[in-house]
Amino acid sequence: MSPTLIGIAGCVALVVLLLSNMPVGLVMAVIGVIGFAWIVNPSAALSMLTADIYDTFSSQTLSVIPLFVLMGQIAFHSGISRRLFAAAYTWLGRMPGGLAISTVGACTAFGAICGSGPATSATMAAVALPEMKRFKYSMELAAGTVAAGGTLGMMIPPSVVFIVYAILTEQSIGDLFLSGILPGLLTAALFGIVIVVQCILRPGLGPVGPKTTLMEKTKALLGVLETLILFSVVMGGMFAGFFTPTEGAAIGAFGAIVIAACQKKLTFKMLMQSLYETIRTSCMVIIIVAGAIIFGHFLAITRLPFEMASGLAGLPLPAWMIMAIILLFYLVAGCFVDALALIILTIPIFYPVVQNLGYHPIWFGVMIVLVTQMGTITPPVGVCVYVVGGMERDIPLQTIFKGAMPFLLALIVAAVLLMLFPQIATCLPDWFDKLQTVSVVLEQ
Amino acid sequence: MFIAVYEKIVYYVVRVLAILAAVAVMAMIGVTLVDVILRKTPFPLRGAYDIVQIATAVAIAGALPYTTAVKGHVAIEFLYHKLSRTGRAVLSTFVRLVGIILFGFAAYQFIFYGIDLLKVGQVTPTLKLPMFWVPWLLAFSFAIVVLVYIYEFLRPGKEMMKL
Repeated sequence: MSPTLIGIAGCVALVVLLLSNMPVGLVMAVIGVIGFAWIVNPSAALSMLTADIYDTFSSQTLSVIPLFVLMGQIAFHSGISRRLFAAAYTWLGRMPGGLAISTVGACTAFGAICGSGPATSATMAAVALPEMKRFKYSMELAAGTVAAGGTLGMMIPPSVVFIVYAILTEQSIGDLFLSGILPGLLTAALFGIVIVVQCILRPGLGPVGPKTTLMEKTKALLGVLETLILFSVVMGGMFAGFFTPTEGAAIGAFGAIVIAACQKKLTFKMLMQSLYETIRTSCMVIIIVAGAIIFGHFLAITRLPFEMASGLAGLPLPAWMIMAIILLFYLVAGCFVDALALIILTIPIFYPVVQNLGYHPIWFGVMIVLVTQMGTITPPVGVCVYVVGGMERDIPLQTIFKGAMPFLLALIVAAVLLMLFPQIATCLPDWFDKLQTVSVVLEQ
Repeated sequence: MFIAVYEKIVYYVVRVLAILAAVAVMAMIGVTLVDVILRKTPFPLRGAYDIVQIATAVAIAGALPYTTAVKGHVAIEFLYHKLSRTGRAVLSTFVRLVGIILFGFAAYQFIFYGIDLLKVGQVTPTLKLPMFWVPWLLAFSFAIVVLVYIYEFLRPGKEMMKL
């Protein structure tokens, strides 16, 4: 059997084992080791297994993950999300569906300190859903907004998905963080439009909130201040070159602890809870990365990704159509596979194709995050929907899925806009690169 | 009786490793902060990179048995939940067996990997700290993961600990 055929057999076995409820990282490692042993020899496969796991576990680059996750966890436990929501509501509550728009606003702000979509959904479900219930919002709109709003955490930096994508494709984490800002804000704006349109068409969905004075509005801004400072220090310091992503993440985690202490929310129990959740999430991510690296080494010796890349690039189709097919694959697969796992699984296969087609790697990173965002609110594996369903057990899952569907339309519009205007993703990193070049020249 | 003692021992070892992982994460924050603060002073911290690298390995090694015990790994569950009770039991047994074999092999291999690092005198770049014990810690962690899977065999359907 040729190595390429073994590679195809490995991919089929991967899909079969994935459906068996086996942890994703374990599946990739097992297939990678067996495939490598088949093509080379068992001893080399076991050496690769240990070397890859050791290198991944002791990777300084991956240390950024637990630190950013801890920052989000502390923010979650210290009530930052509650203050963000209150501020957003004071400013946006008078609009049709004002509470739902405020939820999107708070999700956007919370996404700026938390890198996970499901974590953002869980946080906002606890904060916003009781308020929307109190103001007699339709639960379909309320739960759908929280589930969809949570997906913003995947796009707005710091994003765990971007960190992993950057490591696997050897791109700059800073550039990817920058590239996620405008698409994240664009998606948030589109979500807002979806809510307003729905509430204009069916006013019963989201009644207008009470009027607030300018004084109340100004006071509410204080609730945003801590997040703004934390985000500015971490991201600003990284983009300005004062510190590396790992250092930025450590400063962010420390800053979140200081904020929690100032708010008198920091207790030993809360810190330990945040740390346990942090090590669990980080371990889950890093095990998948280790599995993907092992699987990637197996695929590399089969030459399957290169054959696929040259095959797809040689198709008599325009590049944009091939890209559309790849994105469609992500959209469909994202409905079944966890977003992060899907991206890690497919990068070794699709990244060479994208490079061959001449697309910008940073733009592609943003696109696949956006497309997999869709998968987190669509059945059957809409993880953000399940998170909201888990938090609010009296809302049926089908109601949440139904409520999230209009937001899927907004994500599709965002994806089309990004296809047509890739600059939305690439302009900020390009602009910063130019700025840094100018400052270096000026220093000289 | 045997299962209860076994459960207790594995539970405490997993807890201790999780605490070790949490301490390692806090150490990463502390060392990085001190490094950033002292960088521009005449007393910079030497070897912050080395310490963070080791702390990352300790954190993930310590977290692995805990993540396994709380069933914290990502898996695709939607087909699994559609199976009959027997089907689910067969599949779970298969998944645990694969886990035991893979982590068991990896644990065994890491012992020799550590011996190799000891023989060649592998050290960290700046502080020259020996690295051979890191694979041994990984071997220990993986062995505990195997024990967690064995616990799941003994007590099917029950989580060893809650998150």
